[in-house]
Amino acid sequence: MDKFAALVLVILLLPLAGAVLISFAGPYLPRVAAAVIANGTLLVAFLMTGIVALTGWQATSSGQTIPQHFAYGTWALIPPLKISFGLLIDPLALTWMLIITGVGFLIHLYSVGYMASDRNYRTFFAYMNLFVFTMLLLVMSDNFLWLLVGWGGVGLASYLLIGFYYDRVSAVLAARKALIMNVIGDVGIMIAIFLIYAHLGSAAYSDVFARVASVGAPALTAIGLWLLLGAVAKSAQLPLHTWLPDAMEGPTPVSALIHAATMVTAGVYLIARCYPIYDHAPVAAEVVAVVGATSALFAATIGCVQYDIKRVLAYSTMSQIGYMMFAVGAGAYTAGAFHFLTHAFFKALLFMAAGIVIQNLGGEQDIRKMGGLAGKMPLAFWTFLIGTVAIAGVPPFAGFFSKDAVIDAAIALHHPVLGAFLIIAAFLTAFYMFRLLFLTFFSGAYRGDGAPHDHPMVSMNVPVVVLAILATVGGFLAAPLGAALRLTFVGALHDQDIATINWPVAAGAFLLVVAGIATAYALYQVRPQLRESLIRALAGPRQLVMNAYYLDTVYHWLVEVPAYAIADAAAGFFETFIIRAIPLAASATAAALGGFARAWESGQLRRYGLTIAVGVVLLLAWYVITAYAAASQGVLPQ
Amino acid sequence: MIQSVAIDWNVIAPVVVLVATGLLVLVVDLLSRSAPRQLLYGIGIVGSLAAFAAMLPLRGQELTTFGGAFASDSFSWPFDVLLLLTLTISLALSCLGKAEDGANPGAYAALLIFCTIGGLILAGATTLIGIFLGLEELSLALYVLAGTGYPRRSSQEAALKYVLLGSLASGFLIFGMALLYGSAGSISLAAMSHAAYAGGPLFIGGFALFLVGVAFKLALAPFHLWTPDVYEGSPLAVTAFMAVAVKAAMFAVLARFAYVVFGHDASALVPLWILAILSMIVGNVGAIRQTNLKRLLAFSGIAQAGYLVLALAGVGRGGVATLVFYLAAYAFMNLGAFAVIALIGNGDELHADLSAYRGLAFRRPMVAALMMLFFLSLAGIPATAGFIGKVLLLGQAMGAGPWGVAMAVALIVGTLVSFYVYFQVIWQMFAPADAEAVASDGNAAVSWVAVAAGAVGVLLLGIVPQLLLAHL
Repeated sequence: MDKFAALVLVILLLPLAGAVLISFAGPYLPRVAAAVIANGTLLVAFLMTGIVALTGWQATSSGQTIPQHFAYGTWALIPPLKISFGLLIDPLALTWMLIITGVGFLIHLYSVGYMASDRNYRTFFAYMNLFVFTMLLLVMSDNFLWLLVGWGGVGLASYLLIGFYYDRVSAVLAARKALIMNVIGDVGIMIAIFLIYAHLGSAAYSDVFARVASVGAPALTAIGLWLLLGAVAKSAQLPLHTWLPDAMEGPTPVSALIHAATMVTAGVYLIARCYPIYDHAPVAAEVVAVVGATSALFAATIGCVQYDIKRVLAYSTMSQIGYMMFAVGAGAYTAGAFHFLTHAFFKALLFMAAGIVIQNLGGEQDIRKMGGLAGKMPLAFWTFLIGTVAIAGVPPFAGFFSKDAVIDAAIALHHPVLGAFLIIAAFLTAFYMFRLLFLTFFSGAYRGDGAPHDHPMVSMNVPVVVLAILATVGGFLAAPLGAALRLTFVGALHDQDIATINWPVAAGAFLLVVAGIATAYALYQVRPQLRESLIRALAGPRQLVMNAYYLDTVYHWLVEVPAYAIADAAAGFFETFIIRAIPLAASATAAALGGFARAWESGQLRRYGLTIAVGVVLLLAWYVITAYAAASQGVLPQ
Repeated sequence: MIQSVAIDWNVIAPVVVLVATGLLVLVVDLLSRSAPRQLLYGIGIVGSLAAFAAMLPLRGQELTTFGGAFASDSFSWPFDVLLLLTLTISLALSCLGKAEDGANPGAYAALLIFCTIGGLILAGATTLIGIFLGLEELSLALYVLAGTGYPRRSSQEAALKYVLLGSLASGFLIFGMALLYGSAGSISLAAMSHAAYAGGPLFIGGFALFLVGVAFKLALAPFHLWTPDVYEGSPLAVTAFMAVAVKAAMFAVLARFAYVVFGHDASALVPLWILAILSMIVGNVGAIRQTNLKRLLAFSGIAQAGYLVLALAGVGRGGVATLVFYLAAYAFMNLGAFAVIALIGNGDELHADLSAYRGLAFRRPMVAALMMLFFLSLAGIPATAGFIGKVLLLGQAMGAGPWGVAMAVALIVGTLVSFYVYFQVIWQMFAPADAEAVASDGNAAVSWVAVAAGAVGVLLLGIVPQLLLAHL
C-alpha cells in the first residue's frame, strides 16, 4: 500500500476510531475528552482530505494523472461472488469529503457549546462521529455494496440522532418515521444492486460504468428508477419526504449536519455518481428531474406558511435539494454538485444561527413568539441575514451562482416547464426566507415570554462566522470546482459549464428574488393588516399548504391503516392458527420422532446388530431391483 | 517370483515419523514408569508437528510408492493435515487433570498415534488391501481407546459395543472387498473402474457390502446406532478424536473410491444419497431430546456426516474442495466444542451433562461466548465456517440432478430442525443456573489453546474462506 492509499484509508477510519474510542473509553474519561476526540479526529480528517485534494489539484494542473482508485483487498466469499474493498477518490468524492469533514468539523465544534449541558454529551459525539464515518464510506466507496453499507449506516446514525432526546415521545416517533422511510429507500438500492449484478455482472463502479453501453435501456431504466427510490428516500424528495420536517426533533447541530448539509444530499451524490447509467437511461433521468423540480416547488410553498423556525429550514432544505436533484436528473451534474457545495455552507449556517436563537430563547422554536431580536442577538442576526441572502440568491452571495447554474441548465437542456417550477420556487424561496428573517428578527417588538438573553459562546460563534464567510464567497468556487469535476464526469452527455453565467436569465431570476423579498417586506414589515386580509381570503388553500398538502394524512389512510388492518388480521387469525399451529405440529412430530429415535437407541446390542442386518438387506435389495429393472429395459423391446 | 518393490521414503515420511513417535512414547513409558503423562503427550504433540513438517514438502506433489499402492497426492494431503490437527488437539485435551487415560498414559498416547497412522494410510490407500489395512489399524486402536475410561461402566460398555459391531461391519467390508476383487481381478481401485463400467452382480454386490462397512464407520443411518453409546462412554479426548479423525479418514476413502471408480457414472451411488438423507433426518431429530452433550454431538455428527455426502454428489473437482472445507469446518467446531466441555469439566465426564451449562454465560462469559460460536457454526449461521460449508455443499448438490436436489432439501430441513437442538444448548447457557449445577468449573491452559484454535478456525473460515478454498 503506498502512502496515498494509506492516507485516504486513514481519513475514512479516523472518525470511526473516534466513535469507538468515545464509546468504549468514554465513561472513564472526562466529558471534555469526548469533545476533544470527536473534534480532533474530524479536524485531522479534514486537513488530510485537504492535502489529498490539493495534491490532486496540483498534479492535474501540471498535466500529470494521479491514481484515484485504491484497492485494499478482496473478500471473496464463495466464487464467483467477489466483494472487494476499495476507495474511489475522484473530484466528485473529494467535493463531498471536504464538506463532510470540513462542515462536519465546524458543526462538531458548534456542538461543544450547544450540547454543553446535555447529560448524554459523550453519546452525542460518538453518534456524530459514527455518522461522519458512514457518510465518508458512502461517498468514498468504489462499489455499490460498500455504498449500501454507508447508505444504511447514515440511516442508522440519523435514526439515533433524531431520537437523541429519547425521553420525548415526538422525537422517538420522528426517529422511527425517518428510519422506516429510509429503509424503503435502502430496499430500493438493494434491488438496484441485484439488477446491476444480474445485468452487468459486477458491483464495482468501474466495471459497471464501463459496461453500461452493452446493456439495453429497459434494464438501465429499471436500475435507475430503483436507485432513484433510494435517493428520494434519503434526500427527502417527493413522495418520501415526510420524515424530514419531523427529523427536526433532533438537536440543532444534527439538523445542520445530517438533515441539511450532508446526509440528505446523498441522493444527489448517488445520481451524479451513476451518471453513465442515467445518461443511457433517459427515461429514468427524466423522472429524476421531474421529482427534483416538483419537490423544489412543492416544499417552497409549504415553507411560506410554517411557523417553526426549524421546519421552515427543513422545507427549504427539501426545496434546495430539489434543485440539485433536477440538475443531476437533467444531466447537469456539475451544477448539481455546485449547488450542493454552496447549500452546505448557507444551510448549515442558517441552522446554526437559528440554533443560537433557539438556545438563547430557552428552546423556543415558534417564530410567532420571536420578533425584534436583531438588536439583542447581533451575531445571530447578521449571520442569519448572510445565510438568507445567500439562499435567496442575491449576488454576490453563494446561492446566486449555484442556483443560477441550475436554472441555466434547465433552459439550456430544454426543460421549460420544470425550469418554470424552479423559477417560481426561487421567488418563493426569497419570500419565505425573508418572511422568516422578518418574523424572527424584526416585525415589531419581542413577542415571547420573559427577556431574551445573548450568551455568546466562542465554540458556537466561531463556526458560524466561518460559515458566514464561506456562504458569502462560496460562489466563486465555481471555476475550480467545474474544472475539477470535469475529470469525474468524463463523457457525460449533457453536463453544463457552471463558470459562465447566462446574464439575461440571471437578471430575470434576480428580479423575481427582489420581488419575493419585497413581498415579504410588504406583508411582514410594512402592512401587517394586508397579510391578515390575505390570510382570510386564502384560508382554504392556506390550510392545505400548512398541513403539507395532507400527505401525512394520505399516507396514514393509504398505508398505515391498511397495514395495521392486515397486521391485526394476521395477529388474530394467521398468527393463531397458522404460525403457531404449524410449528407446534412440526415440533410435536419432531419430538415424537426424536423420542422414537431415542427409544430405538435401547442400548441393546442385538437390536443394533439387527438394524445393521436389515440395512444390508435393503441395500442389496435396492441394487438387485435396479439392476433387474435396467436389465429388463435392455431386454424388452421398446 | 516375488518382485522387490522400491520404496520412496519421502512419500511415507509422515507415517514413519508418527510410527517413530509412537514407539518413542512406549519406550519412554517403559523405561520410566514415573514419567509424567504431560511429558508423554508432549512427545506425541511434538511428533505430530514433526509429521506435519515432513508433509510440507509433499504439498502439491503427486507421488506414489509401494508399486502404486500408497499415494501422497493433492487428494490425500488436506486429509492428512486434518488428521494431524485432530491428533494434536486430542493429545492436548488429554493433558487435563481429570482426563481419563486408563492410568496408562504411554499406551493411551501410543494408541492415539497409531490410530492416526491408520487414518493416514486410509487417506493414501489406492488399493483394497491398503484400505483394509488402514481401517483395521484405525479401528483396533479405537476399540481399546474407547474403553480406557474403564472404571466407568459406560466406557466398558462403549468399548464392547464398538468392537462387536465394528467387527460385524468389518466382516461385511472384507466380504464386499472379496467380491470386488472377484469382479475386477485386481485390488487396485483403478482396475475397479472397468468392473464398475461393466456392472455385473458380483461388482454391485461387492460394492453394496463395501458401502455398509464404510457407512458404519461414518455413522451413516441406519448403521449409526453405535455412535451415541460409544461417544458417550469413551473418554472425552477420544470422543473428540473419533468424531473428527474417523470421519476425515473414511471420507477420504469414500471420495477416492467415488472419483476413481465411479468417475464416469455415479448412478451406483444412489443408495449412498439415500443413506445421507436418512442420516440428516435421524441425526437432527434424534438430537432433539438429548440431555448429554456428548450424545447430542454424536447425533449432530450423524447429521453432519449426511451433509458431507453432499460434497460427493455430482462427482466433480469442486467436490473435493467442498468436502475438505466442510471437514475442516467440522473439525474446528467440533474440537472447539469438545474442548469447551473439557475445559468446563477439567476432563470430568459429569460435565458433559447439559444441566452443567445452565447459567454459564453469567459465570464464564468468555467460555460461553466461544461455546455459542461453535454451536452457531454447527447450526450454520453466517460469519461462521459452518455457514460457508453449507453454502458450498448446497452449491455442489444443486447441480447434481434430482438426487442432489433431494439431498439439498434434506439439508435445509435438517438444518431447520437442528436450530432447535443447537439453540437449546445456547439457551441453557443463558438460563439461570441451578444451585447445585454451579460446580467447580475447570480452567486449564491446554484446553484454552484448543478452544482458541477452534474459535479462530471457525471465524477465519467463516469470514475469509478463501484462506482455505484458494488452496484446494
